[in-house]
Amino acid sequence: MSFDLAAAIAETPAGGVVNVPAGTWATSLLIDKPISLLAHGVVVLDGQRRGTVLRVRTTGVVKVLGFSIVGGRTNTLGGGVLLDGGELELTQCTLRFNEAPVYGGGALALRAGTARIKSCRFEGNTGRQGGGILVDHDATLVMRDSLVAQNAGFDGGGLRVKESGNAELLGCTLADNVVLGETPTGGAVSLSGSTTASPRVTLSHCVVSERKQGPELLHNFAGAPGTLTLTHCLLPEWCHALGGDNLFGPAGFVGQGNEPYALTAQSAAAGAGVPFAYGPGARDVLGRAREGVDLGCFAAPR
Amino acid sequence: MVSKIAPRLTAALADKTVSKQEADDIIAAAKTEPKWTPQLQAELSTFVSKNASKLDPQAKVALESFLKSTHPRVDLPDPALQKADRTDVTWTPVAPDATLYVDTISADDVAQGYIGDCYLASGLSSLANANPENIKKAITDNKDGTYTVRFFQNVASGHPKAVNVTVDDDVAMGKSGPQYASARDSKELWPGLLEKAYAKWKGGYDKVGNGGTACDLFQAITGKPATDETIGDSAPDALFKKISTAVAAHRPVAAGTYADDDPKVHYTNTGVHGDHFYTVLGTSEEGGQKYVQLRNPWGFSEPAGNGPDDGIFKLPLADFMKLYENIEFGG
Repeated sequence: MSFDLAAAIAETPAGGVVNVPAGTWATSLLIDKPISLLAHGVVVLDGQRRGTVLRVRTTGVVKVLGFSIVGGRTNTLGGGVLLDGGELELTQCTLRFNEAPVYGGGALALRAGTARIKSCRFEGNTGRQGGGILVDHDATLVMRDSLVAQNAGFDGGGLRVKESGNAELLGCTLADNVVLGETPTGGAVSLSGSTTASPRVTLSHCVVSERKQGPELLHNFAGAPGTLTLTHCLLPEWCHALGGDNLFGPAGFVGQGNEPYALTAQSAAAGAGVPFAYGPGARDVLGRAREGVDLGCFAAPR
Repeated sequence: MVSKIAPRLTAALADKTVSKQEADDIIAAAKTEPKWTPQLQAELSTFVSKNASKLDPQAKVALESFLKSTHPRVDLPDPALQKADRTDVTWTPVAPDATLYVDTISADDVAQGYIGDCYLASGLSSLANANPENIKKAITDNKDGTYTVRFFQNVASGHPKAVNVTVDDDVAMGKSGPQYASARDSKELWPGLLEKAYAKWKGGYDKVGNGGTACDLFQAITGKPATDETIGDSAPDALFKKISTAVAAHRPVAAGTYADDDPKVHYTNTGVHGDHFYTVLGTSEEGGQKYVQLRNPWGFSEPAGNGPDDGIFKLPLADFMKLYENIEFGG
């Protein structure tokens, strides 16, 4: 099949749309203008372990819809996607098996700008800091209805937020992310600042679950702490000291099949949210209407 | 809170002279302070200098000797060193007669320690190679065993903001020598001090020892924006020109390699290591062939045929582009 994605991007003017046909495209691309990339059918962007798959560095908005982004590998930031400025909208994408083993953000790294993530999956990525996602400097992550599962890192298995980074998660599921190495911290989320910077992380209506306890599910480094806010989340029982308006207990995942992190009808997360938390027309990670206010990225069966 | 030495200083001046016994009492009180801070050091130093004419000669010798022997301790908390396998590490001055700089500042001064901060060690070497004045301007010798390093806060979203970080000159010594960055000349302090201050700023050696970018270090030292590029984005001649121009303009440059298990890049027998950062020292042209000059921040381990094993070597441009993934330029 003859389709040159790099050439298509180069030829598309700012504000234009690149329609990418179904298929697997080996690529490592720099997007330096505000354009939209739309996947038609099953479109896989494969980094083939030769650098970051997509690097975004612009002053406008870049929209990426419907892709699988796999096989990226870099020695610095963001195996799958690196945002280096501007605004990135990532919708209904799956980022899987990307690596950033020397620094971080296996699937996604934000060094500058704002990323708005909706209905995406971050699965099986590895990064030294942030197996799934790294938010660095003063970048902002706004993520909803997304799954962060089975990622691995040394510091922040699922999500690592540092310096003055800001992360706001709504209706997301963080499950089975792991930390490894000599001083592993933050299985699901790790945040730390510096003596002059402090990150902020807010999790609302999220389900946070780990297969086993510790070494610390949510790590806020005491030496240079950030602000970690958890509201209306379902957390493991052994986190009950966190208190607040959160729930504590088993996640109540289906645990098998294609969607092991989907909720059972009996899950404590089912219907446990605050009315209107998701706003009108909300949909879960599978694109289903959110009929109730369930915690996490999957709507519970009714 | 009033220090323990304050009332002793007041009492000693009651009769307008300070005897040897009163000096000994002051020293005894100083030794019972829970922590000997820079403030206490300044309090006693000021007392001695302001009242020099009132001090008995023996009292003056005793107090000055005490001040000289007492460095404020501002060691860096380091959880990694609490680990069982690091119990043999001790914090100690690197050498009795160590100084900030021995001879000139050079790229070859830096030796990476046993943490994953090749980006930092190679970056320090790049800064030394580009413009030693940037390093000199960043470090202030406080003349009390401590040094203040001036960094600039990330400038990505505005005007750079100066951040001062003070550290002492103790280093973590293990059986194999310094555990963190050091100078190849054991009497030279600047590489270890800069790394220590950077680590203190960022929350500890654990926080800088899990990777990073040379760009961040370049910005922190120069206050100027830094950029990075994927080498595969550039045409060979354009890349060569860009590196040559940057080095000629005294800008720091570093480059990182691909994964050491990359299926398309075979590092075996190349003398270059995967997943590693190197200082880019410059470029050259010999017999029509373009070369990139590099330095391994370990201070050793290089491709064969490059003279003594000091980590400094050159690669043909084509090999450089094949083995290296990205390149970072400071301002």
